[in-house]
Amino acid sequence: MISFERVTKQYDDDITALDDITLTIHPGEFVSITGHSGSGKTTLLKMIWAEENPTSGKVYFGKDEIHRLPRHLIPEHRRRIGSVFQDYRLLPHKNVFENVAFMLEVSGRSDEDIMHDVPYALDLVNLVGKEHRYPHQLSAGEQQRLAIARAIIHQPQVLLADEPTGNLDPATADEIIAIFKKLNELGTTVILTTHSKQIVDSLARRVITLNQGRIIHDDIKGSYRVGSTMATPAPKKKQVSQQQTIEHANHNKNSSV
Amino acid sequence: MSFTTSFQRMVRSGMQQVWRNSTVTLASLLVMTVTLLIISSMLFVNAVLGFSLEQMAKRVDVNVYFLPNTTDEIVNSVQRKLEGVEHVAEVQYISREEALTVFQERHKDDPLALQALEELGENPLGASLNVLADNPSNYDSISKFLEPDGGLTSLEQSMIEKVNYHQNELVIRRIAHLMNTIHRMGTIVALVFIILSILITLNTIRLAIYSSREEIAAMQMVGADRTTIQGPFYVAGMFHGFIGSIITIVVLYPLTSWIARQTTSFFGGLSVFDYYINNFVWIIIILVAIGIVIGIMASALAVRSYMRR
Repeated sequence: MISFERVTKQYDDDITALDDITLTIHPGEFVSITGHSGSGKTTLLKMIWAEENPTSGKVYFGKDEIHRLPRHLIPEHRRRIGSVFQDYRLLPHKNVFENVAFMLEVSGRSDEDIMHDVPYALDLVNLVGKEHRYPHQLSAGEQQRLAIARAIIHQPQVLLADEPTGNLDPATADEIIAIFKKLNELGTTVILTTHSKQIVDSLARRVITLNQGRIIHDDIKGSYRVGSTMATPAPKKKQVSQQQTIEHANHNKNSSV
Repeated sequence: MSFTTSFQRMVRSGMQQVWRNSTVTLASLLVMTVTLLIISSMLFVNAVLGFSLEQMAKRVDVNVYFLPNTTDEIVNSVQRKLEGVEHVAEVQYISREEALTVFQERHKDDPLALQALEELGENPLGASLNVLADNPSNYDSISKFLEPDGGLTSLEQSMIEKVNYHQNELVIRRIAHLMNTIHRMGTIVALVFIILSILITLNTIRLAIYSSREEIAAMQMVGADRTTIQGPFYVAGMFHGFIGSIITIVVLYPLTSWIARQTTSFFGGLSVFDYYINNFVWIIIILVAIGIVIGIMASALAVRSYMRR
């Protein structure tokens, strides 16, 4: 479904954010991407959002090479994705109901659909009764749940969550992860970047560990790896891990849509 | 999704921005009103200047004096010919009798002159033509028409006693030059003021919308297309322009009334307030159109500069 083929991203000041990344994510997977700050997690997601272009290599979403999509098709591409950000990125001048409804308006849905679906999504994230509040009138956990409701309301194929629990207390973080799990069980592919060992371990799903823009581990049923905190990965181990990644990709190819 | 639905959503969202983002609305309305006041004051200054120059131009004329024995046919013929000359706005015929009446009126306190006139026993004054050009700078060409080898027959030419253009030539030229300079400078100053105030408005509104850049980025990230993002800002810009122009029109009423009381005599009889009332519909159309265009331009510039790929 989503694949990176030898993707490298370098910024003007010679900082390498991603270094020769190759990986495939299949429909229905729940993938956690870990690594310390600056390891390239967010850049990886930005490639999928078409927010950044790779310096070299290709990123595919289904059959589409994302960065060759014409400009006018980028919004349509982004609507295939549900997006949750660490800083929520809610619309401050729209209330709870309108924030979620906005996603359906953008998707061209009718007013009847909006009146029917939005309450359902708000119920799912436990925000019923707060429809008329504005984002600044919500707690951090509520704002993130609102962002999730907005991200899933149009039933996207993939949910990208960039450190969604970074600003939340452990109990609220658990609630958010529970919602992601539920969505994944319903068939949505979830890609999550996180620093949290507790979350990664509790999920016991595929874990990709990045360090200095390279994949150093890609475990099918992984846990938070000590390697993700290493300043510099051992070159040998890195090569093995990338080989494992390619094997993992090939292994799963048959099940991809 | 139908056009009507997306248009309704765009207008609703734009109006929500207006009501809910009150700081931006107030800042935009304030700067818009000030700009439109500057623009309208430039319109008034131009009108006053035009009127004053027109009044001044009317005081400049050329007189063609005929010999007392000139027949009415000759004077009428010269008048018709002059009326056909390019740049001649008006030719006024002053008969011998009228000239005498004017002379007597002018010298009513001068018994010596009146006595001399009485001793002559007949009217020594000839008829004359008072020629008014459309612009003082055009008297030169009119004067050439009256010269030998101009547009008159030798008989007509021989009956002309004098043309006072040459006595007044220097003054007329100076006035013409002054009027052209004032008119040109007035237009340049007005344009500079209008352009400056529009630029300040555009930039102020752009800065006011700066607070929306994160919102614009968020909309883009969730897949909103350009029309969905920009539309409401255009609606809000249009609203700011419209309301700003209405406020300006309302403020102009007492303002022009007050200015008129202070300046009517100074401007040669033109009342700014009368000008405002007489041209009310045009002023509304011009200000509303300018306000809406500036509002939309400011919003477009702001949103476009904050939109990423």
